[in-house]
Amino acid sequence: MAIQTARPTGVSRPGLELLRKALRHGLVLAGGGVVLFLGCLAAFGQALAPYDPLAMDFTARFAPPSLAHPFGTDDFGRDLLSRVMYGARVSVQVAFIAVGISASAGVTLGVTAGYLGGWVDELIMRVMDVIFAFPAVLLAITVMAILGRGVENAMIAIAIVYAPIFARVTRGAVISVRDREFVTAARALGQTHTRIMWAHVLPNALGPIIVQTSLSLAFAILAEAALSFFGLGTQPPDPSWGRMLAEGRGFLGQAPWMGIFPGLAIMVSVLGFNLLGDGLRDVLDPRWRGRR
Amino acid sequence: MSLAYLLRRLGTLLLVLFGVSLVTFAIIPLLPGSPARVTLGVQATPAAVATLERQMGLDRPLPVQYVSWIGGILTRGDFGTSLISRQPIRGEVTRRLPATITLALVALAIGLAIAIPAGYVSALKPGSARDLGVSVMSQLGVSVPDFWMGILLILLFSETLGWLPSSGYRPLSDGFVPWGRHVLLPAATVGIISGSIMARFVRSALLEVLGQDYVRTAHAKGLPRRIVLRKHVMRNAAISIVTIVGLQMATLLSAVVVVEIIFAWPGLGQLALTATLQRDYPALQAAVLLAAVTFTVVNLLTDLSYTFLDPRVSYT
Amino acid sequence: MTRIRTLALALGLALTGLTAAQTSGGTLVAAWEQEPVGLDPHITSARSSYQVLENVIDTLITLDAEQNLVPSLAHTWTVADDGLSVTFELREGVRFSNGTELTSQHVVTVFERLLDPETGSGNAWRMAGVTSIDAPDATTVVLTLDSPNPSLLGHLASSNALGIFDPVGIEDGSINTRPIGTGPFMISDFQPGTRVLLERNPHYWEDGLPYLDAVDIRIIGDETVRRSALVSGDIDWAFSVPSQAVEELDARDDVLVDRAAAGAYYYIGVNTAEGPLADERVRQAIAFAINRDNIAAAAEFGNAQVTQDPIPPSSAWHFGYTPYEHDPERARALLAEAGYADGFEMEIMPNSVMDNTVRAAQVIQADLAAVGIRASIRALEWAEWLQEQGDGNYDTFVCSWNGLIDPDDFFYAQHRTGEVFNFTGYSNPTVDELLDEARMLPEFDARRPLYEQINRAIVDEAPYIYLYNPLEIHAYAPDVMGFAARADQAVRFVTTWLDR
Repeated sequence: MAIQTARPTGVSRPGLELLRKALRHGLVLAGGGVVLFLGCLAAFGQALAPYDPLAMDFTARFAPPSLAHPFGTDDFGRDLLSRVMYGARVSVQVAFIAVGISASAGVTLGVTAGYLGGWVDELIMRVMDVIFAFPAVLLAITVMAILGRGVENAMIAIAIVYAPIFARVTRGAVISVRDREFVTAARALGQTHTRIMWAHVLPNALGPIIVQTSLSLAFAILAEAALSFFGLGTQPPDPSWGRMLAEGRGFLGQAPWMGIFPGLAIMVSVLGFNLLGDGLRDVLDPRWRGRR
Repeated sequence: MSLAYLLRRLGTLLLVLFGVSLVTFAIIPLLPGSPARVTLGVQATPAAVATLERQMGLDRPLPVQYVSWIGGILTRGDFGTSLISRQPIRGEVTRRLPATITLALVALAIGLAIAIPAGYVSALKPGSARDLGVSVMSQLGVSVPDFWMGILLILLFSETLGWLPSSGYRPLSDGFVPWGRHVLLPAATVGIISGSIMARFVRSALLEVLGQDYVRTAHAKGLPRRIVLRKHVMRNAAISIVTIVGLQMATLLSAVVVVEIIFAWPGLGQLALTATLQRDYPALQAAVLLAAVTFTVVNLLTDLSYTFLDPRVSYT
Repeated sequence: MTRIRTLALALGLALTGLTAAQTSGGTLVAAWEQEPVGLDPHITSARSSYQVLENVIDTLITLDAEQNLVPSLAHTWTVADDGLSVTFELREGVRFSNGTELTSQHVVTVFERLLDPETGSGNAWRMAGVTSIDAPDATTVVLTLDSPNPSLLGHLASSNALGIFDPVGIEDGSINTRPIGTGPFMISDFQPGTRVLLERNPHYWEDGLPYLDAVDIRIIGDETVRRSALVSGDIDWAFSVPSQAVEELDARDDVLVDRAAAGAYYYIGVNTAEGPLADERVRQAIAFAINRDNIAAAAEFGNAQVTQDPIPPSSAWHFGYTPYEHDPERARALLAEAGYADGFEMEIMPNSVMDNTVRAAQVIQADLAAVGIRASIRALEWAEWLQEQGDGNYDTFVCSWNGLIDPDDFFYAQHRTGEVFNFTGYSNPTVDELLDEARMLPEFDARRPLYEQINRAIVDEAPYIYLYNPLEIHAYAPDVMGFAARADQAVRFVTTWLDR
């Protein structure tokens, strides 16, 4: 798409200044704060959780939020706060690994397509178009149906769904820098294509990719929740927010907290990554506007 | 817009659609489980399963199955026969298509009804409290899981207040009121979310036009910002809004799949999920193929309309 | 609200022969939980399909609410002394909903199709032993068997797969979507996945019935949505409501909850083929380790009766054999004895369509963890679940058997060596002999001690670890009259009427 133009951020700009700029930015701070908190929860949630998230207590089923159980308990009498804290780990893990795979694959393809151009570009991007042509949820469900359910497969499904976006964003950014003088210079010096791609082109196209990564993390958390909600992701009794929401859904009448807290957790985390992404976009390149 | 460009885009479209059909077809035999076993249930004997699979034509080589499938679609619009209900899928799809289109269009209308005023209000005075409010709403919209939103709406409007039915679909031929009552909640679920997201795009589209010379000139002439927005900017921003709508189709279609399931809405998304669960290969193929074709075509139209509406953008 | 009031009313009416209070007409909007998977009675095996067919297709004989065999299309039937033939005399003047008069030739065509291997029917086994079907005259049907099949009458009465339809639908394929029967209703519209419209059969053979003009069946898969549709009045009748909502619905005035003890049970099926689970002591350890009260509470929210053997207390065949109790110490001791003092790893396979099995699996997992067995849960959707079960690709699964009447239904297909539904691989020659013998005996008193032995052996050797007998629960608007939940889980609207 020709309307998508990305400006190189330029490696020459001192990273320190960028960091200072980022830290002054409200969105980055707010989003970063949420993400940091989420990260801590994922790392230390297990140690900090007041209860064993799998421990059932049939004398305390459907207990409303109280001092003993700040988020209440579920249909097995399990402590929801502890489950939400554990769930952070699942969400963060799935999101990071899925986006990691997705970004590696997408960026590689995008750099190759954008840098080499010609039939390689055509081939890669048409294949990406084919994947992109399927509605995300449908594609993820179908992939899960083939691979079988489970967290690992959910990561793969999410990675497949979002890879074309990375490829597109990267390709756009690469095209905008590939004809610049430092690339031509490197070529004149006889450097290999691979080296030019990774050492010269990619670093100068990183801005949009970083922004896309943050936004994709948000979507990956949503996607994992959706897959688990349909029973395809995390398996019981492992607490994942999507699963907890699916379980809580049947009890909204008698125990609304079962559906409220996991939903809130998803929303806040997604919000964090989105704010961070938007903030980074402002910092890295104010002109760049994301197209998902 | 040159004819050569148009032809090239159409060529690419066909190529992508061919790829889509191949993928749709190729992934399906990879699914574990057999439709014959689903039909026969717990009481399936291996012999009965084998017989039924033969009757369903599942024992033929894959290329043969592909050619007969795609051939049927292209020559006769025949998507095959559902392995489960044993009815022609074409009838099923024609029956479900209006439901999905209804849902998508009403959702889009609700979305635009939210996005345009909200975007307008916030572009009116960037940095104001109202602008901030719209940004917050927009951020929340992107972050709310659609399935959660649907459940909360059912709880509030259907169960607690009892105003609207919680599920089902009535065709428009049953009368406007029953139709509207049924479509409102599912469409609002999708519409509120996509409207919140679109509000942000509308805002930036408006702001971009505001930054352009002729608008500045209008300003300089002393026209109040509100009038400038209405007279000059909205019209010019329409182009961007068309694009936004096109780009939103992806999110919208995905959300529609989810919402159809939650609201028991008899559309293509629901068909796709049940077909996946029941291994009804032809039905799944039809639903996925149609969704992908719709999506691809909408994308092309979005791009083309962009060129068409804005002569400054030209493709070569 | 509970059903007792209306049942008493219906009974009173029946006794006095009054019909004045029943109003004819109206459409009942009913919600099914699963969509009918095709409507060909010979091909489908989905309960949701049979629950539709129940109202469309009649069987030769049927069961009354107390589960006694009573006439339906056949007004009398005789079993030969040697059990090798059964003769049915058909009711005269019965017409299919298309007006065609039912003859014995129709019955022959339908049964021959069922038994033809080319049909691929998963229900042919129900007529095991039948070698020929003859129609000596227009109203007589004779089934000839090569060996007696004591379950035959029960199957003929309880399974719509053995119902009679007009064979015209076989040639033109309409059998898949609109089988034509002699029942109270006929299918006038079938939209897969969304709706089945049943309209009154104008030719129905019982005078004055059915009361309803139509039954509009909607498919609402989501139990939460089904519940709110009922509460908000969008539907009149719901197939089942989430068990956790029963208590709350019971307290409401605008919804009536109707229950019956079902001829059904939930159980853990254990793959006895290899590994630790091949050891009887390990299976017994599991039976001691689990807390059935918690399982029933989690899975059914109290709408169930915990049990250790399969046949529910409501049946004359109930044994109430209870060798196990929740005893983790005992379980650990048994594991140690079998050489698994440190436990072992295994998998529990519930199916995600049955949410209650997923909930049960979680309690089982926690209980097993307490005795050192590290179990993981693999919840599969129905299609995949069936495949894995069929291929023996599991350690344990959680499932249910439904619509069981004769004790043979509870044991034979599940546990007889080599039977197709014996997925656990259990094999005990003594049990086989007892099963073969017991099914041939005609008298209750003679059969009961044999089944008692079988019951004991199965419970002790634990290829199935029984959990609970569920209740059949329907919920509907209080003005829906003349409907009752049944032990055989059949859903019949023939005498249903609307008091509005």
